[in-house]
Amino acid sequence: MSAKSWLRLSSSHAAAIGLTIVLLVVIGGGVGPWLTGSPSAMDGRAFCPPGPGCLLGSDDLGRDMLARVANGARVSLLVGVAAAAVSAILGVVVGALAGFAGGRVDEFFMRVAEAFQIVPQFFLAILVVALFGPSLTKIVLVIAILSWPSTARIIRAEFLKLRDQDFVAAARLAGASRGALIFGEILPNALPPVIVNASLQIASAILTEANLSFLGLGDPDQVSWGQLLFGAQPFLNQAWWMAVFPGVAILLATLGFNLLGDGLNDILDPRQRGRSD
Amino acid sequence: MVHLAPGDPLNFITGEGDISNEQLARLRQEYGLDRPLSTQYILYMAKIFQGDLGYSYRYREPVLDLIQDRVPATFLLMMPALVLFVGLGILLGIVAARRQNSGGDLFLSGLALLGWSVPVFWLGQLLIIACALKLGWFPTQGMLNLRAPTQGMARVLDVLWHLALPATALGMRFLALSTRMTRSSMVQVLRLDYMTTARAKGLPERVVLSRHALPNALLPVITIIGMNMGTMLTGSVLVEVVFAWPGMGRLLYDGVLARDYPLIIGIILIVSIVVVAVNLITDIVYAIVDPRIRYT
Repeated sequence: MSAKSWLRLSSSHAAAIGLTIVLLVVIGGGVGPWLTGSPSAMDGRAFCPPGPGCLLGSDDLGRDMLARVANGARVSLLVGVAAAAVSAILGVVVGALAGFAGGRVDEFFMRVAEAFQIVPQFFLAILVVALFGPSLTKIVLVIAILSWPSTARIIRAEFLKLRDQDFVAAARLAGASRGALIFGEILPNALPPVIVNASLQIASAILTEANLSFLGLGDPDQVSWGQLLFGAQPFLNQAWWMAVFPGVAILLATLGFNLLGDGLNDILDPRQRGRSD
Repeated sequence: MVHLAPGDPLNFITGEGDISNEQLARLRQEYGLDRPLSTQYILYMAKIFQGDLGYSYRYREPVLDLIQDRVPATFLLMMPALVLFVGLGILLGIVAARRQNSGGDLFLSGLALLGWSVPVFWLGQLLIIACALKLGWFPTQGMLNLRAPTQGMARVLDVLWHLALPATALGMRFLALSTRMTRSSMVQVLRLDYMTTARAKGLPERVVLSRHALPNALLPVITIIGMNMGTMLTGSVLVEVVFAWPGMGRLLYDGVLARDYPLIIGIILIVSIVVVAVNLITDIVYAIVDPRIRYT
């Protein structure tokens, strides 16, 4: 196939490749830990290089890296998906309120959204986690609270566009309540761009969790990919495999979700291009 | 708010040794930690407006001085990322847009998405493993060689030699971002009618691109770069930790480890001001350059 025809299909290809990678990572995280055993069992030789016996090597305490990376998939995916879900719900609620009500309510919520978007989010996350102590729930909530404005803006714009269309007016004339108008008529039509955004948000949440963990601000009771890289930093000289494999896992997961988001975006609306931060 | 956190800064000051309750009480008084939180907060706010960010518990120096000492190193780290890598990204974006949908375009776009997905600090670790440890081309950390010459050209070269890897790790994300943005913005501009007009006038393709397309295509790119100032500073913290680069990010990391609250808050305050200011400047510049936007 020539490059041109390949690219003509590439909008769907990007989504397909992304989806494949995402599924691989999800299966790895779902099934992997059953096969590899406990991530904290110290039953092997310390600093065993990758090879037969320990496929991805072992860490400074003799723990198997394959088991740790597979378990890390669970934690990192959980954080990514949970944070994106909470953030999407927050964003949809605020965006729907602002877009449907308009006027002062709209003005107020959009100023709040701008305030959230302009502050350096990662630094606020550092501050909150450093203050309240690191736990998975807190990390998820912090990421969600700092990332809802993009969804809210998208939903608001969709609501403004859809609010005055004929099918909504028809429902209104038929005596539909406000709730029925918002949830039954407008919201289902406004959701596609939110799904695209959610995919990009998962990628960005996984990265944020990894960044926090790398600064020693991850949940100490959980093995996430970022945590593994934090642990690998002192041993870069002795055990390259401790740093390489968890990082490859992060790269695959974020690349997968980014590709999926980009691909869906091209499929759903070829002209719209969003910021993926 | 910081004080809700578990842990007490006095633990760090006193260390592991035995210390009597009286001594603790005296220290508490000395640092003002015995007063009610509301009083501490009001005093802190009052001082901030006088340009006083308080004293670091750990270094026992004014926070502002500590930050000022570290800003040049962070600035030095960010410059190549902002100038070199963004410049390169814009070039690659133009190349990709000119041959839109070609194999080369696909390759560059894929590479840009890869660069956008890779964790900054992991890229740093990879560079350390590959270029510093295995190949031995670059030093693994720090900004200066201990036995390096203290002045002149040799010192500058030494710093640049130490700068190469961390700057690359930090710049990659911006290379990716500017490639992506330039490409999509150029593709949109190239479709517009006035491009056809310019070509129809018989202008050479080079002039059409550089004089007519580029200035308009670059506007959104510059805005996006400005809006990503926070991302840049985030990356800088992570890269500084990986490479033990003596900048503001490293200082923040040390502050978090030591529960040095005035230092943490001081740095985050400064960073927030910088980010908000850059955003504001970006908006203003955009409004000046683009006559379609007027604030009323």
